[in-house]
Amino acid sequence: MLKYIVKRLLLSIPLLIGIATATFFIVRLAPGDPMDMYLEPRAGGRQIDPEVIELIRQKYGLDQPLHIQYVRWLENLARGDLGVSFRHRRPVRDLLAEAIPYTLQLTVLALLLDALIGIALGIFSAVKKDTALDKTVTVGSLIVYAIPGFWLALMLVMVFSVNLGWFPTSQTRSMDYEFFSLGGKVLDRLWHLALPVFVLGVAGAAGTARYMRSRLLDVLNEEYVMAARARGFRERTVVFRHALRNALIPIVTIYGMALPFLLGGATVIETIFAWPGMGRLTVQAVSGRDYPIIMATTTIAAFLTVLGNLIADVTYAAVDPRVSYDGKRKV
Amino acid sequence: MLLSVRDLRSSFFLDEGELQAVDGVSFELDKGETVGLVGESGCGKTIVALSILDLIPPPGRVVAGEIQFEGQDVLRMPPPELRRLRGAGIGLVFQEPAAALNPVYTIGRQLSEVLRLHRGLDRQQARRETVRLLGEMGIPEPEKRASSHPFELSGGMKQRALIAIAVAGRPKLLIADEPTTALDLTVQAEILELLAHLQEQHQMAILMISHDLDMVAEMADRVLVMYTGRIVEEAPTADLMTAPKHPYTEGLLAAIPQLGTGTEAPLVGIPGAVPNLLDLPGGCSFHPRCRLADAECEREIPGMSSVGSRWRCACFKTGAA
Amino acid sequence: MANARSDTRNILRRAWLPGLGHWALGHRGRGIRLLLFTVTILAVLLWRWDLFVTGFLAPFWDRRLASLSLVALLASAVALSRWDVKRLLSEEGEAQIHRSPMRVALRRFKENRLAVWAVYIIVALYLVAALAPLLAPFDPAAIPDVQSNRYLAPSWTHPCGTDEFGRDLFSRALYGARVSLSIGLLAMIIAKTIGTTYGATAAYFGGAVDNVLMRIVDIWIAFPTFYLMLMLVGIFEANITVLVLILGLTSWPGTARFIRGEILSLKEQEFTEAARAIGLPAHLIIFRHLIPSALSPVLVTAALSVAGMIGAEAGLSFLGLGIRPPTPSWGNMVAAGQDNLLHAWWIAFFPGSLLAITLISFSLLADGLRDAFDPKALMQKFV
Repeated sequence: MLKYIVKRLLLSIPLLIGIATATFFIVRLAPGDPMDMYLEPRAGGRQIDPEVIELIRQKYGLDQPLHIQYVRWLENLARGDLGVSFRHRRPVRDLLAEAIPYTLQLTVLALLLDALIGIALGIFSAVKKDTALDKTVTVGSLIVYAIPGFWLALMLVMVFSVNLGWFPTSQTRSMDYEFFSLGGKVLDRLWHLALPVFVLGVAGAAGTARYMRSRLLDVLNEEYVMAARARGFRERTVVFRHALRNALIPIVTIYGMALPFLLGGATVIETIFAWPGMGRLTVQAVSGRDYPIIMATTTIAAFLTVLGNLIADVTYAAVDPRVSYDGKRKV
Repeated sequence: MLLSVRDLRSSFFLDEGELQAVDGVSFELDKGETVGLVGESGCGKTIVALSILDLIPPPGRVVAGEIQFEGQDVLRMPPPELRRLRGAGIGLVFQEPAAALNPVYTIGRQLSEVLRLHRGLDRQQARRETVRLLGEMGIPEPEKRASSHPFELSGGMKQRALIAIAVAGRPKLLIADEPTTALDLTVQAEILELLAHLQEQHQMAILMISHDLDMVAEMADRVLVMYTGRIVEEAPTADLMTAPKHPYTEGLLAAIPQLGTGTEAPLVGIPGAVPNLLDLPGGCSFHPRCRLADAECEREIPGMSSVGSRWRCACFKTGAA
Repeated sequence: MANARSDTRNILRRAWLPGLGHWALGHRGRGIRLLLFTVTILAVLLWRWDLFVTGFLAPFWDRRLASLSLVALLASAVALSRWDVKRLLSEEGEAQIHRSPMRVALRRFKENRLAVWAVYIIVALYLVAALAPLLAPFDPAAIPDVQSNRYLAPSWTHPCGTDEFGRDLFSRALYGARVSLSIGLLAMIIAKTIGTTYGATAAYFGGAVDNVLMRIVDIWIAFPTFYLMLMLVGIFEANITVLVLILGLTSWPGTARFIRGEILSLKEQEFTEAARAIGLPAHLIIFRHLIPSALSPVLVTAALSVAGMIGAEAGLSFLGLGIRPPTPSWGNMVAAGQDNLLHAWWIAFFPGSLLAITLISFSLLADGLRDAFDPKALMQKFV
């Protein structure tokens, strides 16, 4: 298995280079002088001394020909130097290092919520097919899945935070956080995480539930399930031991693909709840035309997606005995 | 009498209407007997097997009739007893061995769990018995095979494993539904031998279901011929094969190609085609294809009439002779 | 004989009034629906007669478009009615059991009540969007006497209330529909067209060309779509055209990969071999067999894609990065209502609800399409 992982990692490198290249050239597509990116936009009539502009241009290497800039960009990326945000006047790497853990908290918990609720509901509605419960779950999950995340978030905030006061409206911590015990701090963080995680996770759960239901129904129609019944096992055993394992296997790939969606959704959720994660950082950077951050976060997000897919592939090969580690079916 | 089926009717309730897959089937089976159930695809023979175990998937179900196994009414059994019946009373072997084995579990595991369910063995005992049983089925290197997944085994080995699973609960009756159809000819013979051997060893009755009249004739003491959900003839094998009474059986026999005789005899088929079960002809369902048919055959459904003590035939023209 | 012909002519003449022809032929349901549709359009026409007429000469293209749309809708209702009646008349003699996969799917689709309602809602929304300048009671940009008009709760005059500048939110919502719905549809068309062409090309040529093309797709797909959109709006100024292009250009790779896979697998299937064995020439195979088989999943994903595009635009506008105020878009209207959730909940509620209804309808449509095209062949193994 280790050989496979290493091999996949090595194979990913051209992809990662391609991603970095794409980011570089797309940004360079912007109309106007690239220098504008590194100057304060809307400087509002302030005249900047041309000599200063030239100095800045040299500092950022923008006086070099394009291909050299490109190589510099790749080199820096490999070294982990992601540039400096001119808004925050700090290295982008530090900003990201602070922001990513927050995003991870949000997305990992959302993923867990998604998995737990989604799979459970999916199984439930498959087993009780065509009952009122099944129909409710099917239609309900479709509605939840379709509702735009930001609106759901706002509605929930309106009801649960503003009106009922059960949850905080935003931020990661309460005012008197400093004075809490460790357990209290954890609880406080969870309390603040509750609404954002719920919004992010519940849409995914709806999708998972529908997928799980259809997968399980397919498996339940397979001949080996009927064979299991013919051998005298009770229905519950047939569903949970014989059918479920088969149905769950492809779910792994779903989760590999879920990462990009979660990251995208997180941008909006983090903005609404003032959660200082990578998504909010990016949105602010876009508003403020802070290109170093934009380039860096987009590239990192793409890297994370590639990583997520890799993990999903490896897990799938580990879980399905029919698939060997180079991805080919052994059958 | 081990198994007694009386006037069994099973249907599928589709959008297009009620499809009567089994329409009034009756027969009996005694301990240690081998009975063959023969018919073309779609005649309902698989549904008979599923009905006996009350396993028909929706939208189908048993509509009427009585099934008695060892004196107990199968169709009215409480669920725990029905589960006992499946596996410990009656074993079922399917047509496609690949489809009937769960692809994600090893065959050892699939066999062990049945052993633990029906024979009450603990994990250790089950493991040992698994290996022994696999060996008894003729699978080489049973310890290694026990930790293999189904996709690693050949068709013949998969079928042996399935048979092992089916007899693990020491059933009194084994229903084999097209057990060799998906296999190569040489393997076919081996499987049949295996079944015969098991029958002898455990005094097991076998209900052999197939469209291959020849194959059934090798193993069975008695043969039942089915057409469009009804039994049209039942007789001891030798009698049926040499002098069938029902025109359909005649047709089936005539259709078996004779190999190696050197003659240039043309292949004989039965004219026409098997009718759509949703749209059966009135009266005797075989009449459009039958050379003996007349007005009476078109109007009325022939019942089973006995010819001697062990022969039954459902035909107006040849039955009552 | 003569009677039949004059009957036909009578019915055809009645078909000039949409619905009447169908009614005469016994297709009551269809007749009523067509009639209702036409009556509604005429009602709008009469109610807004002055706006309608002046719209043709107005300097703003969207008012001209609205008036033209009205005329176009009437004309197409009449044309559809006559065409359908003619078709029905010609079929009366032949008892045709339509078995082509499209017909079968259409019939199954119609049995799905939720999906059918979803179609009605979507059509209604697009109609309203197209006719918005004629339907809006107020000018969405007009700012009246602010003091007395701001933050009015929903009422008969202002069904959705007013915002902080006193603008009527119902009118703004109607205009917002134009923006959001048209962007969604156009972006989807762009994405699907590029994606299908790209994927089909890769599948057709195979080999090295396929390899290179798919590597590019791999790179594109690795970016989370929303991040890519964010990056692009950060680089280019976001007006409607640019936004449509951005949305379309970030989403085509998914379709490309999918189409390529479908066509590759179809090429391998037996019916292709069979078609070749009969001697069918390549282009016929591609157009009569391969593409129609690949088409049905594309329709399903097209519906979902529109929903996705509308949602993406709404998200971007909500963040302030898409359509900027004062141009109304459902997304930026919700954003504007964000700070007033407690006191003026209607500012965010109505645009958001409309958005939700639209997205839900498209999802139901996609579901309905998927069910219609995918027969459950359960029974084959058991009979």
